[in-house]
Amino acid sequence: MEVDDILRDFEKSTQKDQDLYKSLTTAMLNERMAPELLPYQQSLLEDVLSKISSQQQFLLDSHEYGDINIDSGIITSDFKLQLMIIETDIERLNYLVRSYLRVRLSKIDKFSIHYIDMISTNRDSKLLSFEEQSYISRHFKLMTDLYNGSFLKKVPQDLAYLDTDSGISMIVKPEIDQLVFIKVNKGDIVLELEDDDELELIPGGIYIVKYSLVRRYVDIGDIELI
Amino acid sequence: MFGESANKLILDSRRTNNLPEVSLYQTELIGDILREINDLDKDMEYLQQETEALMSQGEDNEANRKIIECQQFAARLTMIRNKRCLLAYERARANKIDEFCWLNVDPTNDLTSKTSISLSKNSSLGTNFTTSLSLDNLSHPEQEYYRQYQELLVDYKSKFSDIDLSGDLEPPTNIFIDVRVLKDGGEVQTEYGVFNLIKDSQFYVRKSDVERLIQQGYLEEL
Amino acid sequence: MSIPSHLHQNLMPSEVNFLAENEMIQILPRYSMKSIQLIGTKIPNLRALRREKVPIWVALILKSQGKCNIVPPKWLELGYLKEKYDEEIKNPFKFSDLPWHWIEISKMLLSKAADDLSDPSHQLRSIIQDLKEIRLVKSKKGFTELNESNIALTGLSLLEINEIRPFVLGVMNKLREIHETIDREGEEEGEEEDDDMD
Repeated sequence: MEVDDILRDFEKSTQKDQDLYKSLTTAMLNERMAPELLPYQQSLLEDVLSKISSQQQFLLDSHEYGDINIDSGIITSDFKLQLMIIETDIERLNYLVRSYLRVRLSKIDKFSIHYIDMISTNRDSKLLSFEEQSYISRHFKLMTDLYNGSFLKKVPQDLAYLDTDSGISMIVKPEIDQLVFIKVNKGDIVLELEDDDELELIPGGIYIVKYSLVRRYVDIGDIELI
Repeated sequence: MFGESANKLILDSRRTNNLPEVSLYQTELIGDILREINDLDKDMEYLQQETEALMSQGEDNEANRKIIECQQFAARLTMIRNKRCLLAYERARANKIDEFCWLNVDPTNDLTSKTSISLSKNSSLGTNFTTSLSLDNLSHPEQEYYRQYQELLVDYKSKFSDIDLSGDLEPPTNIFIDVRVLKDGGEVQTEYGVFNLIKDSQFYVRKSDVERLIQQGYLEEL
Repeated sequence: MSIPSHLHQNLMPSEVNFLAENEMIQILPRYSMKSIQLIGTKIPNLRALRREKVPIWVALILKSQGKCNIVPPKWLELGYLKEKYDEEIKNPFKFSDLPWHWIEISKMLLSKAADDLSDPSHQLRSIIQDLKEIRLVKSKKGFTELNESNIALTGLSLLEINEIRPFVLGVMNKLREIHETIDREGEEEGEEEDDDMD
């Protein structure tokens, strides 16, 4: 391998790491701003979690044994500062993951029956992570137990079901026509509005539009929610 | 009037939803609503018998039958509405119990120091997030729910062992800070080594390591 | 709920600040320091007086420990900001293009690296304040044109967006609901007319 190749590889891996940070930030913001649950970023999260874990281990080892690159094992003040920067980095990612996962759970809880229906009909298997699927079904079971224990067992049989009410549906669904702020990453996007109107989006542009009009562009990353 | 108790329950729910605690379970009101539902159910049965009686008489009782149908309809609607109110009430309470579970602190009867520490740590929670929970305010099924949901959360969080999922939702700033020593003290041991509390010396330290020393007046943040 | 209601579809100012801290900035190291492999990025080997780019949060730590000076971004300068101010005045229907995090970054640098800036802090502060105000007036004027379907705000920074978000989305979503109700009623009426024709 030539030196150039090595350098190029090196640059590529640095690039990828930066993308990791950027992707996680975008995933968190999209999830925060979207009225509905977005597909779980499985591989991104796996990647981030494993990197946090190994960095965490590095930090522990360094506190225990000092700088392994120096024979004496002495902790220099420079090395200490480096460790502090590393710890800050871990904390920052930790926050992004925490916010990402918790905002997802809040939507999962809010629209639980809607998403349980979706899982059971297997319309979108990538929507929830494995952990979230287990969470949603267990939480739903707890809720029905609570309803039953509190009052459903004390009402006439034909009222004692959760979903048989005639009239207004009791299943809360995300309102996908809600308005959102977007930032456009790529050109050539034309949104079709009502009454045959069109809205041409310029790259870097910022707009407020209905979420339903842009969800497919959010999915492929051409548009970010902000 | 039918539905009045359910209305009261919803008003109570609206009022207490914005409190940072789970309010007292409305045992009496819920008993009233359940009684109303079951009374209405008996009425329905009675009305059904009436209808059958009218039918068997075979006379032209069109008008009477219409009246009975209306009564049945109203009774049924009230029952359904009552049930919806009960569901909404319980769901709102469960949401608040969930919130408290996320804080990962012990329930309490009054604001002990423990709870107030968790409050200062979670300044990002806003005013209506449930930050205190008294088990006495919960019904038995709710207490059971509380325990089970805690377990569920522990299980979920254990899948992300390196992430403090119950941690502050405020982004981290100044994890490390510059401090100045205000009065002499002993040696302080941290993961980042030892430092001595000698008046007027300065250190760059992890904030969480020295929070107590700042409170005790040994250090000040610069 | 697993998050407080005010965090849903909204950011805290501290979070906008956090995002700004991830932007890259040039530093002028005062000492050498070995490279650090972070999860998000790699801090290169630092050599005294050789410019490098690092995330702002790293720059601020190094700065606080006297390890570097920060090279202020080229837009954080009196002349440039005054030009932008003039642009804002000249184009009443357009926001001049300023960086995505201009307010937060200038605030951070003014409070933690004022000695590295090329112009006096109080002058920078005042022109930044003027810019903020004229832009806010503009976006408020735009509020009279709020509708139920879409609006363009190109040029606004994230912090500025975050400040007007609750109001703007509140109004637009209400308008949308009204609009939908009207549409639905219109359709129903239409159907009735169809029925009549049968």
